[in-house]
Amino acid sequence: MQLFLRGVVLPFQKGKTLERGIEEMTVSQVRVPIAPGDAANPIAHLEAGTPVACGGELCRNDGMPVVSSVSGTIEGTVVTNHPLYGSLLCADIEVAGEAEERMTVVPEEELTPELILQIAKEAAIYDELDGIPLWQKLQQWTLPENDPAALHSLLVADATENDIFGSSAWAVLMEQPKLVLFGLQMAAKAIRFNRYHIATMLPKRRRRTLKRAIGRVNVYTVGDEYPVTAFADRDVETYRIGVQACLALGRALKQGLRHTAAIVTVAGDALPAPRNMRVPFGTRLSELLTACQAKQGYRLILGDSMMGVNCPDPNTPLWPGITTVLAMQPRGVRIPGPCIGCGRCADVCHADLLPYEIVRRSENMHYERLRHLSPTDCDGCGACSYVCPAGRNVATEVLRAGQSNGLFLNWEEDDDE
Amino acid sequence: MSRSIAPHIRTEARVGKMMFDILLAAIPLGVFAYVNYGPRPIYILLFSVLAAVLSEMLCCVMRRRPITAALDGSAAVTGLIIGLVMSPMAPYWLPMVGAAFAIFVVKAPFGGTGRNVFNPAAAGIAVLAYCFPQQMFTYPVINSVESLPLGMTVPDTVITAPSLAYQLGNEVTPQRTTIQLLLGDFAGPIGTTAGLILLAFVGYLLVHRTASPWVVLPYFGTCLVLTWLFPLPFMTAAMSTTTQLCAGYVIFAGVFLINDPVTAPRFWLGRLLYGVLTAVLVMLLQRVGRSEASACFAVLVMNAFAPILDRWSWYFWHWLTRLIRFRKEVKAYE
Repeated sequence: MQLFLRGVVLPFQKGKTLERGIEEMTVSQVRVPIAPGDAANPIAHLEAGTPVACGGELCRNDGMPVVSSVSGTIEGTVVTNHPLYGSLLCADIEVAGEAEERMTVVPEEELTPELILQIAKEAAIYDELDGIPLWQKLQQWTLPENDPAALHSLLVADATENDIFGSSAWAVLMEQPKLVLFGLQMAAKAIRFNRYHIATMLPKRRRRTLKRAIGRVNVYTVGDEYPVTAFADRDVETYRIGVQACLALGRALKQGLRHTAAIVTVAGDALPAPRNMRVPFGTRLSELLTACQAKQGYRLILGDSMMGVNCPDPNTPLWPGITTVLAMQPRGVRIPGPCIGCGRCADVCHADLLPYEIVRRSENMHYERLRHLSPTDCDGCGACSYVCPAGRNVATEVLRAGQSNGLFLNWEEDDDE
Repeated sequence: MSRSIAPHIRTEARVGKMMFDILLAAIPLGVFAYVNYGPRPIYILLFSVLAAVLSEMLCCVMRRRPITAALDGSAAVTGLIIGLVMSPMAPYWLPMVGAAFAIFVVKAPFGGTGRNVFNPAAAGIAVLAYCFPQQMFTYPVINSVESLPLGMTVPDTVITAPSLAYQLGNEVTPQRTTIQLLLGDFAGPIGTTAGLILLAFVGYLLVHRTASPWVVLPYFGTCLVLTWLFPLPFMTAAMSTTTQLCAGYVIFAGVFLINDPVTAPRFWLGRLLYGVLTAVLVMLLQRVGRSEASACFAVLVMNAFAPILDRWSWYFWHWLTRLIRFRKEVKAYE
């Protein structure tokens, strides 16, 4: 019985996905995002018919190269609307040949923190957790030399995958644990952290294999509850980067390869079986789902089952920021019932909020009394909506209340300034 | 493309299932009553549930809601609870009046399911206890007849016995053993006498998470402690504890009345306080008053304070946790 626990234990469905390993996929055409914005963007000078190599530079965007994820010829540019990133200018590339471009490899002894950051930038590595370029994240966190804060700071490679379906990070860890650890070590070196580890929720047997491969101290086991809030044992400041970003950094430093492919879990009840796929960036999701034999008429969700967003356009290109793609069969809309006050939303809230009370006050338009319930602490993990027996969209309401809190209540303070 | 909002997967838990869990209590308690009194109690329960559901349907029509909303189980639960506290020889209209009052006056005007301030069943019982004490509190001697007559009213030939609460109020020691009291072998309402069945059922509710342990356990714990601390002067200590717990609706209220999630606090600390305070009030009213239904009045009083308990306990807890975290951060900084 759940007395003191916070969070929910989700029914995991990923054992079989993990056993299949990572599957390769051949694509016919990719749509690589070049820049945010519309066709009037000045970078849109890519001419049709130009041949590009896999890992070849298409153009530069704020000093960071935009890399072609396949080898082939450019067909033209197109503007798409991405549910996570908004309007994106993309280059359509028809796949042909196997040309590959590599960077020069620097020997490990000569790597300095600045050089590692530079290579992370040149290799166009994106963090798959949030889609931010890795070097930007690392540069924000960089400590000066011999800073005492390094004692309280910890770099975490986040392989928790606490969603029901997602297992891509686990699959990466199973496949190349040593390279991931090397990438993590280098990332920690780049920002002058002394401490780092891989946080994971792997099943016991596989965790043992992993510990044997890369050493016990480098693996940290997180709790079973969704959402994960503790990535380390003691009160240290944790900084999270993705496992795939670590792998990409390791590959860039050791082999000179750029970050051109993502590993995503494709799951959902419209598929015969969930799989982990290695997919070039910019692959259209419709092509990916056809390769996974999805049934027609599926509903596409970018991201995991708890926090994913609807994706109305199946031709949306795959881009870092998600590790799971779900294809769900459409089903009838469930009409939410009235709140009967079971209090489960408050039981599972890891931010210790009262979701039902926040919803009640915002429904009754008592906005001025919302502040006392601190709805801005909500991070939208969705656990309250998940457990609600009345089927209410509690998390959505609480998030909206948090936003309205900022809108309606802080105007007085703004006036004073 | 159909749209839906995250999370895209939900639990199997449903409000209907929770209500069904509580309705399951009708089976063991109905069998118990059938064995002791014949089919009459079953009819009382049926009429009570029917009256509650029909009233709810009428309310749905009046409030222009889909009529299926009345079938979500909450009205049936209200009817069942009212039926369970009827005397086995109560006239059939009695629970129907109570159920109609509960739905029409206590539940619907506040906005229906999930919005009522007071527990409808408790209010219905309280009104019946005040208006029709003769019909409510006249109990037949258990197993005195093969089966009670099925007419609208029971003839005077049936031997009646004073209830346990009445005996305690008049400082009379009931001629029953502890085992007999726990098994429910004494005169009383249809569903409140079988203490062991009720306790087993609350265990079932706890395992299914329909009832919250934060309300139930403090309630029964406080009841036990209070009866043990303040025994009745005219009885042995052990006997006094059992008798006080089995008298009136003490166990019954712990199973059905305080577990109504709508009228109880929702935060765990508020629930704990609610359980403890309700128990104190129940035992107090039981001691100073002589009414069987004192537990209902106690629950109604606590219902009024539930929202305040809920919020204030959360404010307190929030302030405390923030303070501890702040202290820790200050220490780490130093």
